[in-house]
Amino acid sequence: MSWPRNPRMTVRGDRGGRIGVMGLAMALGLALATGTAIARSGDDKSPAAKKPTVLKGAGQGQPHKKEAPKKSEPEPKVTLPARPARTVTPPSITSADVDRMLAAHLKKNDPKVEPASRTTDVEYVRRVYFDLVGMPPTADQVLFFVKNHAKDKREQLVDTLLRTPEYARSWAKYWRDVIKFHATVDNLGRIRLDLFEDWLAKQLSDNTPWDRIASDMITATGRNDENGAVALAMAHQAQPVELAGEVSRIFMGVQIQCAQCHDHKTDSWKQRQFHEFAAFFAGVRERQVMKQEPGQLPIFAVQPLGSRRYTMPDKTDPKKQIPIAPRFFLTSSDTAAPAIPELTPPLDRRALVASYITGQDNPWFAKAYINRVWYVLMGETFYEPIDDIGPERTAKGGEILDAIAKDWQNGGYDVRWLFRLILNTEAYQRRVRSTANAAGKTLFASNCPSRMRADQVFDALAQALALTLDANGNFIRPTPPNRPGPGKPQNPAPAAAKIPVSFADTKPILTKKEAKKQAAAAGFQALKGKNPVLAARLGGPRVLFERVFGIDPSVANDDVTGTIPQALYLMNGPLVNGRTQARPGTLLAEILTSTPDNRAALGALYLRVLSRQPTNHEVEICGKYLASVGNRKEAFEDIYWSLINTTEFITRR
Amino acid sequence: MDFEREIVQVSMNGQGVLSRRGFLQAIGLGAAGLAGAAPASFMDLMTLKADEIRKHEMACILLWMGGGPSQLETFDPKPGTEHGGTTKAISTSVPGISIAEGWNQTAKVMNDIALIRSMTNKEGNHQRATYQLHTGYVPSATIKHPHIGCSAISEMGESKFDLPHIVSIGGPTIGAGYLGAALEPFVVQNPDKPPENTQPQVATDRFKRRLGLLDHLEGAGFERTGGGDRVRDHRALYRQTARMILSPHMRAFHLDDEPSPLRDAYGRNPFGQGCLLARRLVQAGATFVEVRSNGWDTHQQNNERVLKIANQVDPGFATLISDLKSRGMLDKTLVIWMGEFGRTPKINPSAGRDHFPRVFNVALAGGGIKGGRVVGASTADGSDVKDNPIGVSDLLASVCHGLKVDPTKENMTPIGRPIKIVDGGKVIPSLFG
Repeated sequence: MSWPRNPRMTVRGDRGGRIGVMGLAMALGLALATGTAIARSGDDKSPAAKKPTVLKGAGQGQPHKKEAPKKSEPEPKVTLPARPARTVTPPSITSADVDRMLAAHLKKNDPKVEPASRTTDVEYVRRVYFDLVGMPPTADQVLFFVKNHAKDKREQLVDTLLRTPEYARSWAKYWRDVIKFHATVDNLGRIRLDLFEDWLAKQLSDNTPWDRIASDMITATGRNDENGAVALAMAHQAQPVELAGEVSRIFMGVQIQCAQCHDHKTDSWKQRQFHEFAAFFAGVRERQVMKQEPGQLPIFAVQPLGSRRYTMPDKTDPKKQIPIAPRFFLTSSDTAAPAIPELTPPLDRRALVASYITGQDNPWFAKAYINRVWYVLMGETFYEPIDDIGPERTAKGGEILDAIAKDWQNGGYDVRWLFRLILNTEAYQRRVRSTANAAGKTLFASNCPSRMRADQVFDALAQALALTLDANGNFIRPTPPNRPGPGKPQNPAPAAAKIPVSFADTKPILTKKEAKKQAAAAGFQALKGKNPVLAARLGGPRVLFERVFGIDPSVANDDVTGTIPQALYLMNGPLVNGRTQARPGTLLAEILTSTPDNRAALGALYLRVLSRQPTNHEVEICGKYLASVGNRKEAFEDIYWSLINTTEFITRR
Repeated sequence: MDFEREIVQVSMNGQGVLSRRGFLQAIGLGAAGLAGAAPASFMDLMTLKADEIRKHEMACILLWMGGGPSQLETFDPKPGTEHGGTTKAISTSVPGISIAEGWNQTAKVMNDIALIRSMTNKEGNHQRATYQLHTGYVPSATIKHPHIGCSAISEMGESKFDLPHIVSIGGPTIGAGYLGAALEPFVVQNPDKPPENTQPQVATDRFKRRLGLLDHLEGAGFERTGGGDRVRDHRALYRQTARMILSPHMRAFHLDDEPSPLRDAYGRNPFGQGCLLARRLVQAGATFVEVRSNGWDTHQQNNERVLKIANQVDPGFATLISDLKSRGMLDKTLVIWMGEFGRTPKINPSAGRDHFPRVFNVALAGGGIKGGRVVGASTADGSDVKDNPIGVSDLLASVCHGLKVDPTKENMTPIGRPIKIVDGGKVIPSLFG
């Protein structure tokens, strides 16, 4: 069993526009041979057998020193509390179990509401591609899936996609954004979030357990060009107060930093508890270790300083500071965690707090992750907002989250297992509903649409407009008109060789002119006041695009509203307007030339842009439009433009 | 299905009121807001009264001196002292108030300007201080506080103005934070050109025709397959954006409409022309416009560099005040000149001055500000505040007061945390009394 690969997912190249046209005919119910659509399907090598879960140690138990901190004074001998050892019990909960619990919840809370119906294959395939690999399926991928009659084809697709590098990359981008949108550092560029993305993509690709990934980020030290995991600390210049707040928010969903300046207004967290937690993060600093050279970036490192006392300001006397010993605020038992000696070496403190956070005795670590991933996949979740959960909040359907969290935690935080569990539920596969009626407002009765992240919109645009992307995911130039058909091997675009393969390659490869052209082609002026070569390498069209379309993934879906610059970009931007013209070399010109039938041509466009066929109503509207405009080329340009400007195009559904 | 007829109508009758109304109805705009869209001149539209469009009366223009302007080379010179360096003082239209050389135009309108020479703060990092001076709060990982201008327009309520109510000229500024994307400042990079992507790439008729088609496809497609909520929001955004693109107020971006001598007076540079654009936007109905000047981070060769920038900022600032005044707009337009902090009184070995939040200065005019006065003072050597220390919260509370916005109003953040527009801070009575 194998799947047609998205050319962009393996090699640089275009996607078969012609196939879309043929496929359209098929989807319209015409008997057309579609053999070529699936001819290239033999190149997938993903194993059908499930790999045993990776169960590496996750820094549990007695924390150990990763490296000896440089110090002038001898480290004091401290005794740290013992931590329970990490155990692994294979999870027993199944997707069907989750569906049963959801049904019970629904029956109890909203007995009159019928869950939404199952997605069609066409609806499903677009959703699962965006959710797992962050990009739409190509026309042939849609058709291949629809044509496949295997009973378990959805499960198989999930398994296949989870083994692609694009899955790891897409979710690495997600977590990069989680960090990026809350960074307090004055210059985002110096964090090297691109290297964080590489690091996390590697972890996800290896299916490193989530506790291990989190521990690595919490305890990370070293140079930002060598250890991508330092990005979280660098995003806050290793400042204990900010870092503590973010670690708690991201990994446990608890907003304890509200207690930084005074006791929490609505929760029971005390100011002192926040500072006890922040004290775990003291004694580490961020330092520049290499100055910026022309055409390169400066290098920073997160380094331990040796033992440091952490202090908090005295409320009664602003000039006084009170020394604070580290202590973990969130325990599942009634007894408070023991205070740690004030002079515990910084790396030991971090290892210990990582153990407290990720330990199997802290349920909030698992719940925060599941609650967040569920939100991305379902559009609604148990605790909302997703980064304000914890023992002070009440979940909806909390018993379901608890059950999943318990199994996932005991099972060793297997990231792919959790994806499979959720994606293979009937709940995930339900259609979306609007809130126009009560059923649409009912939790767990349907999947909910959400605005796509900038990366997803960018990749959707690249597919819709037939743009060729380089290794960094920036488009190079429009696809040449006489590109190879999908049956032939795809060659990397010739221009790709000139583009740096990774950011680690520090030679300026783009000329200034090329860099400016790239930025301008994406509808942006080159970064002001900066070396355009460096700017394009740091950004390029994709990063510039993110500036306009970026959204904080921790923000509630309902609070994500489009912006005027986004609408302007899609309405009037040179990229969309240039590429939706039917002029030599564009996809539309090719479709119109090769497909004299208007309905077939329309189907090809819909498949390209929205990964589906037009409804009869839509066909009727476009038909009338064609007739009223009286110019086939112009009318199709308008239709193409309209499809890219629809809500659906930028929405996960 | 009238769709075909509507489309044809719109496409056939490109010009004139009828067609536009037809179009607006076709895409669901109704006739609201755009009455009289016939080719009326921009100045005619101006007389449509910005107040009526804005509903509330006040507006604000923030002149942002990015990098931290030296108080000693702007409005608090200390000639003849060690820290004052070689900078000379010049007299102004107000007896007793002297400012630094290089600000000759500003000196002439000093009777409309109030200077605060006792600003004091703790934040000496550009990014953090820039955030604080714009929002009244220090940065936090959890909450993105809104630009004070976003808070102001949020308080001032609905308006019929069809361009963004808050505009940042010369680059991006602090955002709307938890107030949401709808109040995000609209960025205009270059005041000499219409903002990016605001010009349709096809003829106007065809653009409208496309919008009509889009609207129909939305209705026939995703709206019917569970996307109703999303489509509704998206439609509202597209309506707002289309309204802006097609708005006669977009004429405000055509600085060529202004007489050449006035453009010269503002200064033929991005900052000067930005000030002129700010006036035109406020005149058309915008509520808050920020104009950004950069390069104030003068760690080396402070005096030469400040003189060079002052050469651009001085005419823009002064002409903005006199122009607003001559049009009767100054009373209702608060003008703020400020940066994120001041600079060290002690001159460093590179003849520069470093970051200094302990004492800095701010200039204010219009919007009920009593001009020709100085609030607070720095010590003789400039190293500290001598009297009447003014904190960032005091300043922003006063800005709110000038704009008739209650600074103690609490807004809810997405996690249900109430946050005041300005935390603490007292309105500075001597600015207004």
